[in-house]
Amino acid sequence: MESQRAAAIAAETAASGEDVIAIVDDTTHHYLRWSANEVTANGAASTRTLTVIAVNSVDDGIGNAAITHRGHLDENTVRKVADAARAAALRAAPVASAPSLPGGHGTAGRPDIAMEEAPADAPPAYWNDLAADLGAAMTRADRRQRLLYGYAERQRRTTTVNASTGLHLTSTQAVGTVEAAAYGADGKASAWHGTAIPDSGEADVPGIHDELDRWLHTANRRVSLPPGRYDVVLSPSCVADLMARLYRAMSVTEATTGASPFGDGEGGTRIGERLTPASLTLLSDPAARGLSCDPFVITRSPTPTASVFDNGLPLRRTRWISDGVLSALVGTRTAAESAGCPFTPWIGNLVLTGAAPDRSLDEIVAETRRGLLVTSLWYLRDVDPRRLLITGLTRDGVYLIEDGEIVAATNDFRFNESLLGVLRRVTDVGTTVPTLPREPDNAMTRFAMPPLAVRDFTMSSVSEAP
Amino acid sequence: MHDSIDPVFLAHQPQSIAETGLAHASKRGARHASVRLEQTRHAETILLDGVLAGEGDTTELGLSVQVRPNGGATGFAATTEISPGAVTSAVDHAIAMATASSRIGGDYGEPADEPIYRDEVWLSDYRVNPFTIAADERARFLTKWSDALLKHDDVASVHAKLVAVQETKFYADLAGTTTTQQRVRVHPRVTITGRRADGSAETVSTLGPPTGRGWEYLLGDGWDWEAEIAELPGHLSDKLRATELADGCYDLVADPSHLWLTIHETIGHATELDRALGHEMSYAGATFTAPHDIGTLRFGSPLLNVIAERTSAHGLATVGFDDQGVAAQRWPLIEDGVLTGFQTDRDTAVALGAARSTGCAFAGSALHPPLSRLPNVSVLPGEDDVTTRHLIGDVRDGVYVVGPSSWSIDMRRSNFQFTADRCYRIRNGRLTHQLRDVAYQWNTTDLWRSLAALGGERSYQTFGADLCGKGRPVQIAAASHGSPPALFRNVPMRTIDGTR
Repeated sequence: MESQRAAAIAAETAASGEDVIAIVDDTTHHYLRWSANEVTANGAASTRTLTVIAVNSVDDGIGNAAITHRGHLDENTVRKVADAARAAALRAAPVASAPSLPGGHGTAGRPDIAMEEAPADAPPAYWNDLAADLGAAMTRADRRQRLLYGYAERQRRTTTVNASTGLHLTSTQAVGTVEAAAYGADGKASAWHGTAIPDSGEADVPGIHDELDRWLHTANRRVSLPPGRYDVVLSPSCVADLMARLYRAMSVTEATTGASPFGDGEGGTRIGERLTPASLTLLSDPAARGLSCDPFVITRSPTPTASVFDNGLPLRRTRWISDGVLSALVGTRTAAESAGCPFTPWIGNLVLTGAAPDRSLDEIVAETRRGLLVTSLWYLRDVDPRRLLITGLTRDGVYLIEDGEIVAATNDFRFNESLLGVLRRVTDVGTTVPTLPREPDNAMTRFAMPPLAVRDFTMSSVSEAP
Repeated sequence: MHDSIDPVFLAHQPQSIAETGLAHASKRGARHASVRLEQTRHAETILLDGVLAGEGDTTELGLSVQVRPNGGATGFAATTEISPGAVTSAVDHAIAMATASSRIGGDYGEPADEPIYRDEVWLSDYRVNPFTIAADERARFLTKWSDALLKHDDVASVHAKLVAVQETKFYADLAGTTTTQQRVRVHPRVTITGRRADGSAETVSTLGPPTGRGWEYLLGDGWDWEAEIAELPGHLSDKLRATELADGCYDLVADPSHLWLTIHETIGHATELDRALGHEMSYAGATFTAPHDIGTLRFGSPLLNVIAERTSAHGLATVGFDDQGVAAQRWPLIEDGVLTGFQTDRDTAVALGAARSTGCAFAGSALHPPLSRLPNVSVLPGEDDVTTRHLIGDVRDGVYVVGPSSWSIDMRRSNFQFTADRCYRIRNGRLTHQLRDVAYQWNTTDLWRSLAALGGERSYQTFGADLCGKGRPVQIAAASHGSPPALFRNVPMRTIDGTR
């Protein structure tokens, strides 16, 4: 059954006094994993998922429920899922009020994406190219007594949204990622590089491994350093990890309820307040070049920051932080109205830019008198979400900078930091480049971040890994 | 047992589908092949201040195949289509993935042997399937708790959540094993927030763990929810008056409601053989342990005895058979403080020279390949009838921690930092008051070697994790961890404020 037909059938089941939203996701996924110069896992999966959201007006408010079915879809199954959602909405605990569901129709995203569909019995053609490049990299690594580890994947998703209000939208996204780590023969020196490959682009596997080689060569000299406060240069990947956590905390509801530091303590928000003296702008834009993502709201089940009633509403370029000033928070129409701020829903990419002239990571390092270059972060966790205190570790590459030169690799550290404190202590901003956070988040692979110089970064203790 | 295998799942004729897939794999020359059909239903209800703020009910049904052609890598393919044509196509796709992977190169040894189990059926130990309870009834429980909590002056907001899961799976392999299994778990959790006059806030949460029980758990079977909900506002009021702890080394008494997460991170993941072999080096990380450490590595003090198992009633990792057709087992990981075992699947067991896998293969869904995941890993109680009160009574200057909060550990499972839901100051053998923002930050073997006393059998309790991530693509698994309360000496502790 065609996805659009399934969505249409589900939406048409709405009876008088009801509305029904149907969301169909079709995905394909291929991946390869390797460890110590050998392939350890691979996989291919194709899925079809129908989510039906039913909305009913009942005596004491609006009842709504979402039922999701991932599996085979035929007309009988679609009607069963829709009937189950409608029945659940009648039983659901009602909310007092809800905004009206949007109408409208169109095609969005990148339906022209040229990513190859996998034939039933073979991996996509590009997969053979990836395998060949990877095999060559492993052969070279064997010769140099280096061990390669990593993961590559390619995903494509087409989402169709239909509603009984007449809403009909489709969006297609495709993205690939390559995450690669290399270890020297002594197991001490290590390096990591992550790349997102938007749309139908090809992974530069040889280039990634050349980069890893360069870092391993840099790590030939090692020094031990104690915990303490250091001026640090954070790679774009590290900045992506930190900004991803910041973005997740930027909720209107959490701000107004005091669960995050973006509230004013009196039920309002701190929108309009300066967060950092640096001219940093954090934004999301569904049309961002090379980072394009769903251009309308897709909410399969309600959460405190996403409402099913907002499904289909257009997403527009949104500045979360504008020249250092908090300018928007993620929320639903209801939450935004309640807080008296504009409706700015979640968008699936994140871009951080500075006002400084274009400068590379190497140029920022060259202007650092003494500090640490941190290339990737790991196991970040909230310690106190109300103050955005986090802990985490450096991993696979920390380097001592002296007089503008990287002079040695050093040990890993555990850090404890305030994300807002880090923003306040930014001293230099480099050129924004596409990057990938080390901690993967399936909902977010589209990042463009600059390297940042931050003073007095708190390294709490030494980690002896690896 | 009051339930049977979900007839909706059985209507998909898993046996017939699997036979078709295995016959095709055999025809294509597979040396090893398995077919798994799995249906997972996951329902979640979230209330904010008693008002429904999130609800979802997802059923995922799919099939997957793992095929190993003669002398090559294993290939995996999955689909949400359930039909003879879909399973045949998946076999072809898995063989193609295996062939492409084999071209890259590698050493593909034989998996460890396992007896054949034919037509085995296993259900977990629950009385009332939570999905026989209507969604509004499930939400009503949370509403009742929320309304009661909001009546207290110090309670500014209430976040209440209930998760219910049912997994039904069929497994068949070319050797002849066929198993059909079903298990459920539930996890209610309530967090309340209060504010100080300066606007700063604190939260406390219920400690009731996720468990492999049914709806009876909400009614008091295995946990006294009514009592815990009633006590929660008092804990919050005390926490709002909590003071800071001067950085330094203190004796630490860890309640089982807290210690489970430390066990999970520092012992559970540290004794996974796939980590020791480097399979998670680029993502979830490795471990400081190695196969040659068996029998020699002093992991902890002689008081430390740790068991792994997938057999205990209500355990989150408890199964009849794992996702490679291996029967559930129980085995020691640490005896008298010395490392004596690892967790293995059929592929990693051979690296230990073991005749048999310990049965830790688990796939997070039909769409994921099985990989080595945590069994239930638990610290055995001490021999004496020691209680938490006795342990606290033995401490002159220390901290008592209850419930988990934040956690983070390095990629060798060594340097860690844990915080607790509630921390209490211990002075001269007595609890004095709550502390705020306390973290203990140390290394795994330093902590377990500092273990000075354990509670006895009667103080033993089981908690657990239902959102443990590992692998790429990331998979989620659940595991239980039991322990008595434990006393550690001279643990480095600090107040976390982002400046040190």
